[in-house]
This record gives sequence, C-alpha cells and structure tokens, in this order.
Amino acid sequence: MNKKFTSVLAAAMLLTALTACGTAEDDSVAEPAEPAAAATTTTTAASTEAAALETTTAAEAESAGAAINYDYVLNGVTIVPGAESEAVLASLGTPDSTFEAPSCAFTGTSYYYTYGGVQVVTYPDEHDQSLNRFYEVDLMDATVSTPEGIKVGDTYDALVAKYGTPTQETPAFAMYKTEGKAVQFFLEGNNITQIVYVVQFN
Amino acid sequence: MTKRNVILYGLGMAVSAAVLLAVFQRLVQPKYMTPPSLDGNLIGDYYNSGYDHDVLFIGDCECYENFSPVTLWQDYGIPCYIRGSAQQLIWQSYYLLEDALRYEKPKVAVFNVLSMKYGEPQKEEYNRMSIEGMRWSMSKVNNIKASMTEEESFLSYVFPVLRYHSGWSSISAEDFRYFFGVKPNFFAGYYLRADVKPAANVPKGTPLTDYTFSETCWDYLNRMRTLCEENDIRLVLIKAPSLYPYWYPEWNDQITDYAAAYDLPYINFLDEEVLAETGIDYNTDTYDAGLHLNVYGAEKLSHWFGGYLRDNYALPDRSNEPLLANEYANIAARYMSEIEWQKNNLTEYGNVFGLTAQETQ
Repeated sequence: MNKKFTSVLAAAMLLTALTACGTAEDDSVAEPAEPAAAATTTTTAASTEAAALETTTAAEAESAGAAINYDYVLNGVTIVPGAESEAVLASLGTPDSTFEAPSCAFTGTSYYYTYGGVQVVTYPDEHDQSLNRFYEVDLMDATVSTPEGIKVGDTYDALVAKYGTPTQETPAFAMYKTEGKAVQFFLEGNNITQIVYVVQFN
Repeated sequence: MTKRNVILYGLGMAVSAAVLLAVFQRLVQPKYMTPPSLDGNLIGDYYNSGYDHDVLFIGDCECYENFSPVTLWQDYGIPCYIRGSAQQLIWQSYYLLEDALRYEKPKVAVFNVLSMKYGEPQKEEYNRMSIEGMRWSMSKVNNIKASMTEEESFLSYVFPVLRYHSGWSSISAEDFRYFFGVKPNFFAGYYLRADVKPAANVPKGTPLTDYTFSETCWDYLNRMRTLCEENDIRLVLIKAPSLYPYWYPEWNDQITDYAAAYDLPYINFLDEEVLAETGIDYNTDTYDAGLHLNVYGAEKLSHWFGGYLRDNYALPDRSNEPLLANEYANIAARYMSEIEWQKNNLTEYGNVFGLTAQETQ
C-alpha cells in the first residue's frame, strides 16, 4: 500500500515539476514558497519546480523523501517553515526564553523562542514586516526527536535507515529537501549534533 | 510666434519640467529623520566632516554603533570617522573607502569583518542607505553595479524618483522641513544610544552547511588590502564585540589565517581576554541585548582601541591643532547634549527618542 502510494506520489511530483518549470522561470522574486496552511503536514504532491532541480531520483524519492516530515510538531502544534507564525506561537504557550534581533535599519525583527531542547526562529515577511514567518526549528539536544524518531546523538546510519538517501550531503551534514523547506542533520564524525527544519528560499 | 520664440518657449517648458521633477524627486526621497530609522543619513554626513582623519572605520552597524570617535579624540587626540551604514556589504565598504581617499588619506583603516558572511547583495533598503548618500564618482557607479539586487535598476539610483515616485501620497511635513538638508544626528559617523538592555538568551549560531566565505568577499578584501598598501594606509581587521549575529569559529579561523598570511593585525573583540581588557559588561553596556553597544560600552571599547592604535601605529595626539580641536569640540558638545536628551527621554517617555506610546506602536 505504502509502496503504491509513494510510487503515485513520485509520479505526481515529476509531472507537476515538468508542468511548473515555465512558471518558475517567470517568477523573479526570491521568496520562500507559501506553505498551504500552518496546521497541515507536508510532503504532498505539491512539490513542483524545486523537485525538478534536485538530484534526487524518482527511486530515491520513493525510498526516502516520500515519507519525510518537513514540518515539526511541538507539543501537538505543527510548525511549518515559511508559514505565518503568530497564531501558532500563541498555541505553543509561553516559551522558556525569547530573544529578538531587530535589523539595524529597522526593516523587521527576527525572534527566537526556546521550548526545552527546541528553538524556533521567525523572520519578517518581505512585503509586510508586521507579519512574521517561521524560519527554522532547531532540535538542539537528545530530549527531542523528529517524528521519524531521529534525535541528536544518533548515527548517520540510523538516519539513512529511517530517511533514506539524503538529497544533499557532505561529511558535515545531510539534507532532505522539498519545495520551500528542508530538514538538515548536522554531523560530527558519524553522530548527529543538531537537527534543523528550515525554510528554503528559491 | 517666431521660430526664436518657439525655441525659447520649448526651452522654458523643458527647464520648468526639469525643475518640477527635481523638486518632486527631493520631496519623495526618504529623509530618514523619523526615529528610530535614522541610519540612512550616515553615509552623506561624511561630506560635512573636515576630511582630516588619522583613522577611518569602515563597516556595518558593528562599527557605527560600537565605536565612539569622541572618546578617541578626547582620550588620545586621534581624529577618526566611521564610514558605516546598515548591513554594509564588503564591496560597499571597499567603494566607500575608495571614495574617502578622494578627500583624505588616513593613516589607519579599520575594517569590521562581519560582512564577509554576505557574498551577494541582500536587500534594497540597505543598498539605498549605503549608496544614495554617496557623492557621484566612479566609486559610486561601481558600488551601485556591485550592489544591485535583481529587482533594482541603475537608472533608479541616477533618478531616485523612479524608485520613490509612489511615495507622493505619503509626503509629510518632514519632507518639506528637511527638503534642503537634514540635521546632523551622528557624531563623526557614530550612532549614539544611551539606553540599557542587558544581554540575555543570545542564541548560538545554527550550524551552517558551508562556512567558506565567498570568492566575491575574498576578492574585495584583497582589493581593500591592496588599496591600503598603495596608499600607505595600515589596514586593521576587527570583529566588534557584538554577540549577535553569531560569529562562527570557522569564520574566525579564516580571517585569522588571512591576517597571518598578509601580516595584518586582526583583533576579535569577542575573544574573552580582549573583552576583559576592554571592561565591557553586557549587563550595562548594550542597548539591545548584545547586538550593539550603548554609548557607555562604545566609550569603553574606544578607550581600549585608542590605546592600541596609539601604541602600535604611533598616532600623534593632535588635540592641540585648532581646526581639529574646534571640529571635535562641536561634535563633543552635540554628543553630550544627545546623551542628556536621551536620558531625559528615558525618564519621561521610557524610550530614548521621546516617542509617545502612540508613536511607538
């Protein structure tokens, strides 16, 4: 069932990638892709031109990308990189600590919220700086793990066993990407030191 | 109507249209006089200085908010100026140094290396603040070419009305008040803040997929070094003691290696030993939780750095030179008034700019 679903998904991704190429070239504004809604999970067939640019093959997508969560669920609340943050942050309640970094020219402020071993970072929307969007979610220690069960301290081999072949990798990191967002695993030797869910700008 | 009259009439109409367009352009251009967005006037303010500085700082907000030229003058008699603007990219620093050399030849150029992290143009707002205040020269032309984002055009820098024409509906009293020029808000390029917000919960940097500085940045650092060598200027690399944005050890290593390769001094003020020598206390000496120093921190940092410059570059005490003494006395008088004004505003309004609760919303 799963295999069938992922095959259909891979085919749909390929098809949408091919049909969306023209649109992507016409769009010269460098912005993150607008996620559908803050409360949804990702890795749907919505991946378009970004998928076409990746080195991931259809077979790799079948074995890896199809089941990956690119959003992070914290205390039952889904955080979507690139999505508006205000309502989601309100649902998360009071963070353990906060930090704000206004730009020198006051063209917006980045905010950092820490909830235990998770750090959430927002950035101001390019066109409406009163609006903030999720930039990244950092899993900083072994008290928290990804929905797939990977946490800081786990090995690269454990990562690949759960996630499949990375979209991109170096000896220091492994990354899985979909349209507008990615999940990155930073490594020291064979061990994961930090996990980051992050928006991807075009 | 004779042929001559037709020509005269046409010329008159053309001149009138040009004047009207120039007036309109000046009206819609941002004046950067509404706090806290004052940074846009930093670059143009340089042309009001006396062009006789032994030390020129070049860099981003980590320069113009962390060093006090008044302290360097008062404590050591070192005349200096900060050519900095918000998120000033390294090629902008290079061209601003090149531009400054048309007017003067400092003995020391101090470059803050944070901008090595940006290998590409970032935001139009920052570009405008860094470039529009420059006087026209090839340095400005090249700066524009190097800085433009994809959405910008060279022509809109030549004729800013092309960029700002949509601002006609928001022309305010400020646009008329500062039509012929803005009042000075800076102190030899220094942006003064007298409030205090202790540093807390400063985030560590998220790991990067690649720590290597771009070829573009290295190219401009090389050009800056060569420009200094050709003009017998000693280049000093610094990393200001700002706790955020995070300065990665991998970045620090690259600058350390570069400085060693070319026999350049590099002072990382985030280094614990150096920081301890400056006496900076992040509980009292920053106004925004560690991003920038307030005036109390800037004075401590400048006192330490002034001693370093005097001892290592034999910079003379020029406090007895009448022209300079007069220039810096004026700057220092405004500086002291500004501190008092901001302190009074803090007491009365809770913010340094004296903004009402409504204005801060």
